[in-house]
Amino acid sequence: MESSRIGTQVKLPASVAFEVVMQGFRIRLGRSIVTMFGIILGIAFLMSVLSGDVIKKSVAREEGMRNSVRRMANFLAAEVGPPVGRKFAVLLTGEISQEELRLVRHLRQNGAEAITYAPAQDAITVPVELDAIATKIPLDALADGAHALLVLGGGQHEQVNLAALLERSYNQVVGFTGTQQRPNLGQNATVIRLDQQLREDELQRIAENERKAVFRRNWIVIISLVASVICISNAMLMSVTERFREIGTMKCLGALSSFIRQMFLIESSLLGTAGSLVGALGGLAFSLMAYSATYGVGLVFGSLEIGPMLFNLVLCLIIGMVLSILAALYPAAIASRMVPANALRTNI
Amino acid sequence: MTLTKQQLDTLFTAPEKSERACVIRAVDVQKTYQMGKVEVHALRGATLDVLQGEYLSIMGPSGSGKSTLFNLIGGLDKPTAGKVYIDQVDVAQLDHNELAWLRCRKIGYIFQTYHLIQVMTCLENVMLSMAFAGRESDEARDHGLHLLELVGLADRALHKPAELSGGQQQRCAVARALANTPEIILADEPTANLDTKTGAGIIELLDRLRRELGVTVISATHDLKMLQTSERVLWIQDGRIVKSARPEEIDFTSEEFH
Repeated sequence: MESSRIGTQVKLPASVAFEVVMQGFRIRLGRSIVTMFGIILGIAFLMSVLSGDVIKKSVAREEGMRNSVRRMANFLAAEVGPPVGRKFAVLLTGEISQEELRLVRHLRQNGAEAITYAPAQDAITVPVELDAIATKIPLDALADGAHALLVLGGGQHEQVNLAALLERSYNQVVGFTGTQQRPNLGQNATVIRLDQQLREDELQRIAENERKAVFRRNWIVIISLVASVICISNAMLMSVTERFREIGTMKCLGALSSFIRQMFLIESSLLGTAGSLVGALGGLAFSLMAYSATYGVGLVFGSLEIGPMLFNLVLCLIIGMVLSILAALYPAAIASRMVPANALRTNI
Repeated sequence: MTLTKQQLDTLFTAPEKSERACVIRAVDVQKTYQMGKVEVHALRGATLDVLQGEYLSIMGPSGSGKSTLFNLIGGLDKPTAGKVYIDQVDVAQLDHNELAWLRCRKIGYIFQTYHLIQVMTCLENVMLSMAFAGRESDEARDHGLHLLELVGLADRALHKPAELSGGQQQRCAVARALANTPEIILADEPTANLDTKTGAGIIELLDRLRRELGVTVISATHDLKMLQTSERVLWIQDGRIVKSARPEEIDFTSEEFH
């Protein structure tokens, strides 16, 4: 007979618990899916709110840009008429902004006969997009015969003699963007301010509204996540209750409490991963569809920012996993603490 | 359910025959359950010694504390008062880790309601027990299949418990109890849900394990055949052990057995 000393039970690798869990999934597929729905719904909501934010922001930026391009074009048209058959000259004082580039493209698309450009300094980088729609010519001859000279790029132009350039233009119209100094160019020249800066208090009001909206949104998101944690926790508790006898049996066979705990945590984190993946993708799809219906497919997908979307997706996955593990802590503790005799006595 | 001596030898390493040591000793064990506001005294002080290699049967009406006594001497529960020694070790002194070891290697449990894990096949049930002992290999699989063959379930190894009859499930439970070559087998009414023939097979198997390998068998039972096979019968009533007798001293034709 073996000596009467009592040994120490070996700690099983997680793979054993994993296998047992997978077996459970196969058999209790229905219940697992119901449990998973808790996390799916919670994460789908979170993801739809987060991705909705990204979409709204990009759509707003896109719309703002479109509006401002339209406005600039209108200001210009008010002075020189529609761009059809007109010549425009662009003086780059710095790097051309997205809006300004769009303005030039707008002019080109609306039938401008010729668009020429020249950088004020050699150091200024010119995007290839501009080269495709405008021709570079020497600075001296830039405004020759042009209906309007546009000073773009937001940099300094003191070193360029605008008056001399305008002398050789068709009708001495010069347009500025940004907050550059408008030099006095003499009586013959017409100076147009193309863009419009929002007033300080207006900016503050917008920021305040945004802050309130974010607070409201966070509140709703937190409530929904708490609800889904409770939902999973409840489902896991049910799952523990359902398996009292199984747990008791495993303990009789020599399972350690840690093994039982591990089992439930693995189960929950697997459900959490799968659920948050499905939920995040579902939420993303939902918000894309919902905002497409509101703003139009072109605007939503045209302005879609992939980076923040991916970030939100990953964030949702992590939150989903963490929450589902949190939700399983209590049920797992109950399961692992059970005295085998009590676990076996239960009849469910 | 036939097995040769040779088969058994490959399964169990025969313990040395020395003087019969006391493998389980319970001293004035009491167990009280709290049912709401009512205290239920399931055991009011039971004292017993179980010798190594003994075949002990425990009799008693339902509610007499049989199952409670079983749980206590099997290390599945802790007594409210009194001591339980398994192999001279006080169970109360063991931490959960050592208790798990004890349940895993020292004791094999057979329950009236089988307690097989429903989501696993017979073989997996048997192998789970071995997995808890750290045995996870083809060798463990072979051993599991061998045990199932021993109890006559070789062709049902890959069936789930729900697909088996009660007798087959109980035989699977027996195979599982034997998986880690325990020194003690605790059987709580192992034949209660079985037909006479299957029950007889289980009894014969347990008896052979005891005789040939010195496994200690403790069973709670009302099965006459089982009582007759055992070496000693204890009566338990109202949480106390009231009588102890050898089978040859018992009149099995008396009223209480019918």
